[in-house]
Amino acid sequence: MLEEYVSEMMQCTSCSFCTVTCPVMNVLLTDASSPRGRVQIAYGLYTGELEPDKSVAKRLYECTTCGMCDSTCPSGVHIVDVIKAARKVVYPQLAVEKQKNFAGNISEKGHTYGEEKEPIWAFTGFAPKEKAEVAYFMGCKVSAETGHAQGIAAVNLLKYLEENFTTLDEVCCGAPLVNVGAPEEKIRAQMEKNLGEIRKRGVKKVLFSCPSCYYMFAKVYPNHTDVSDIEFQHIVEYLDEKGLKPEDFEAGTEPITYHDPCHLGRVFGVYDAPRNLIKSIPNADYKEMEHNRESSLCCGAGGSLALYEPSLTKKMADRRIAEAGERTIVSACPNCIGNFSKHTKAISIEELLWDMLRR
Amino acid sequence: MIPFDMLKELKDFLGERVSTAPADTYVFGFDASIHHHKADAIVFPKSAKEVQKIVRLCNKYRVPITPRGSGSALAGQAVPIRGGVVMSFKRMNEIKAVRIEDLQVIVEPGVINDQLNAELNKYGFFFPPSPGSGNVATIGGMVAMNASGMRALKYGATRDYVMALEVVLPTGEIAHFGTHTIKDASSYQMAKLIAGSEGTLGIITEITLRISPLPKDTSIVLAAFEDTKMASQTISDIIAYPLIPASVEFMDRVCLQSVINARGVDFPLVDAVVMIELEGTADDIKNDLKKVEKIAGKNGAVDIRVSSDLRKKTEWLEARKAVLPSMSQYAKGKMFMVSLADDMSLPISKIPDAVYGFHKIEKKHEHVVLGVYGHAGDGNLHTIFLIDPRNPEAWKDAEKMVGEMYDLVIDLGGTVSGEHGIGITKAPFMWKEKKDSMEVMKRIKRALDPNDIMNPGKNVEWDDGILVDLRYPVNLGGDE
Ligand SMILES: Cc1cc2nc3c(=O)[nH]c(=O)nc-3n(C[C@H](O)[C@H](O)[C@H](O)COP(=O)(O)OP(=O)(O)OC[C@H]3O[C@@H](n4cnc5c(N)ncnc54)[C@H](O)[C@@H]3O)c2cc1C
Ligand code: SF4
Ligand code: SF4
Repeated sequence: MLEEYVSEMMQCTSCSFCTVTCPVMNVLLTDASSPRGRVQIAYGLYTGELEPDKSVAKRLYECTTCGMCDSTCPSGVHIVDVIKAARKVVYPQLAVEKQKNFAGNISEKGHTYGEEKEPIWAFTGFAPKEKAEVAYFMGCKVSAETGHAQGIAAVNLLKYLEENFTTLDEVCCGAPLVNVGAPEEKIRAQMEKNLGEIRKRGVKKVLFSCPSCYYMFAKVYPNHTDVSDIEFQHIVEYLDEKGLKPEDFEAGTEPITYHDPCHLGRVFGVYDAPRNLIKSIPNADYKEMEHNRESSLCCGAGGSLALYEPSLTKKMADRRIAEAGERTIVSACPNCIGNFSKHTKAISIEELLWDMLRR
Repeated sequence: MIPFDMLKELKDFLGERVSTAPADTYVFGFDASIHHHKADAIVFPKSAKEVQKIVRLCNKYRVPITPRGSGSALAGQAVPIRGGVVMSFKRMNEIKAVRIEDLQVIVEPGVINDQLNAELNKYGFFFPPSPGSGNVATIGGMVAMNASGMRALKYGATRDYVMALEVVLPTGEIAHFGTHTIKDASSYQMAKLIAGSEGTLGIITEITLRISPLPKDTSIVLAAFEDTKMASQTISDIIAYPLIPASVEFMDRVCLQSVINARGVDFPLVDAVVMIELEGTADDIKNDLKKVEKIAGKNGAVDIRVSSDLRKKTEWLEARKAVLPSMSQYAKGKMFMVSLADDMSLPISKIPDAVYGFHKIEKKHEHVVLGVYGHAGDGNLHTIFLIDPRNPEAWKDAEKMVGEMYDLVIDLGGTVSGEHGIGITKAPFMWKEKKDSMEVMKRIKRALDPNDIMNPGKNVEWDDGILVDLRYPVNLGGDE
């Protein structure tokens, strides 16, 4: 598993530049829980100097896959990929029960939550069409973390714009499986179901509310199969292209700020689209947080960290919430919103836009 | 191994701030050097009193201690080569007082250089030594290493800014060295002795640093050459003119290619670039610029670029600082950067001979690609070795090359370290160059640390080879 990454690991000069930007390291204050530390642990697993044990699993799972390290590393090491590969080594013996159950749910029921019987699209009240060029992939986190609200708002916005689109009879994209280090075949099974569904409906473009789903389709699926016939986009990019006009909105908002989700920002470079959308609301009471855009701080929920170490997720969220102060946090990721909502006021950008539309 | 009783005592007062977890002891066995050795326990003290308690226990049980800031040392200084306790200063990171009117700042050892400067900049001041690792280097680490950087030519090194230190001695006493006055002629300069001692004489728990006002304005000149010797000549000519810019940096083609690959920076890709940072009033800079252009032109510069735009200057400076880690991108996947002969200092006039000589030596060794860069304006060069660390032949080649290079440095009247220190990887060459000093330093070390617990097996106490405890998956035969 790690052989593929030997060059990456040796390319690390151990300069430690990534250690000071890692949001986990900045909370835990130990080199062992820094990006460099995780690469070194992966390297130790590869050389056999380090046996997989609880402490190894702990350091590998204490990471939100926020990608701050990748964008800091002057040696071009793909740190997050190395960490994910190392998690595959520890997963069989050392994953905790919560991680295993989560992964089990995905494989057995198609989605991340336990008992729900209904398909995900049902929460939007908008059934899949037989054929459409554009599809909205809601993602199970949108359901679980925002009480379906982000998905309902997204569908309403697309209807408002009179788009000819469809929902999908979707299953979990597989991101949590990658996060915990579950075996490849489980991830491939999710991928095949989703791509089958998309192609069956003649879809050429898929829109996402969840940056992790977007990441899976646009960056992980292509490692397994050819998806060049389908275009993937986050819904904020799509809405920004369509252009919502100031006259479409009521004026003024409560004090708000925007939190850049790690994957949407650092992986896809989508920083302007959500800001353009927010600024299209006349007199929006908007202010940036100290760390924004490329330097945005992780909310703490990425990488399925909360399954492993919820207290760390909370500490990371606290740092971000302190930056937001009294302002409501707007974001474009269900995981971030769900995490912030436990401690402060947070709302998805889809809901904000839908609430503010004159309709 | 840490004796059971000692570990129990440590846990009693440190609680969760002591770790013996295999993943942790493994990680704390690395720094940025070629060496690796597992620690036995990691401790995270929060005060001088706690440091004292830990040191007393280590001294009682004869367990080695290696202090650690960010672990960015390049010659093995932060590697616990004899195992034992690694003491991390990540949780002693407070700026305790900024005393502008007394030109000083008081900090705990874990404060990071750039964080300190961000705070001082608010008052129009700064702490000038600017190592390439300033974004990560802790003040404790910088003092222990006498770190410096691009601005040493004009501003000097960390030791020049150390006013007072609080130090826990290896035998457990808390000592206060130096003064909080600008001038101090009181006998032996103990604080200055601790600066540069690489954690072998005691543990620094508080630091008082002198600070400087920020320069008014700066401009950067990039002069490109297709002849390395003429580039080095330009540096000597600038200094002899006389001109003392804030910094004069040198990068050869290998370094330029690496940093262009890594960052897409608009450096010219030529045999060598000399980067000159001028500072002062707008008029000073204008006058100095004319002189620099004249000298570079006379030495055959093929391109001269100047910028006073803050974004461009920052881009160039950051790119220059990232040369070392960017080297991994020169021959990605085939050759990797290893820290060998990473640092040497020469009389300024000998820079052209050294650069020429290093590349001549490189040509004899087929397994090594050499990058040369450095703060050439103060005579400080860095070389970077690119090898395939899985190949034992490459290591043998590299080892020979290091010896030949340091022989040349010593012949030219230079010294084996300008700023990265001695640690393990350079110790044998220090013995070759400075036997007398090493013998006396050893006596000092033994007097202060009778049980040899403070960062043992390094520097003056090291008399082995350089390819020991390698962190790479390679078998060199012998003890490896
Ligand atoms: C990319 C890169 C660029 C670099 N550029 C430069 C440069 O331009 N100039 C330069 O001088 N160096 C440079 N270095 C080397 C290194 O970064 C510096 O020496 C730095 O000062 C080390 O700081 P640290 O906090 O990482 O210390 P560490 O590496 O953790 O420790 C270094 C030494 O200090 C000792 N030490 C640490 N804290 C204490 C303490 N509180 N009390 C006693 N001893 C202590 C350690 O035991 C060890 O011997 C560079 C390194 C890298 C990786
Ligand atoms: S992905 Fe984020 S949390 Fe994980 S190691 Fe990198 S910087 Fe730290
Ligand atoms: S920044 Fe890159 S090269 Fe430096 S320690 Fe981190 S992973 Fe290694």
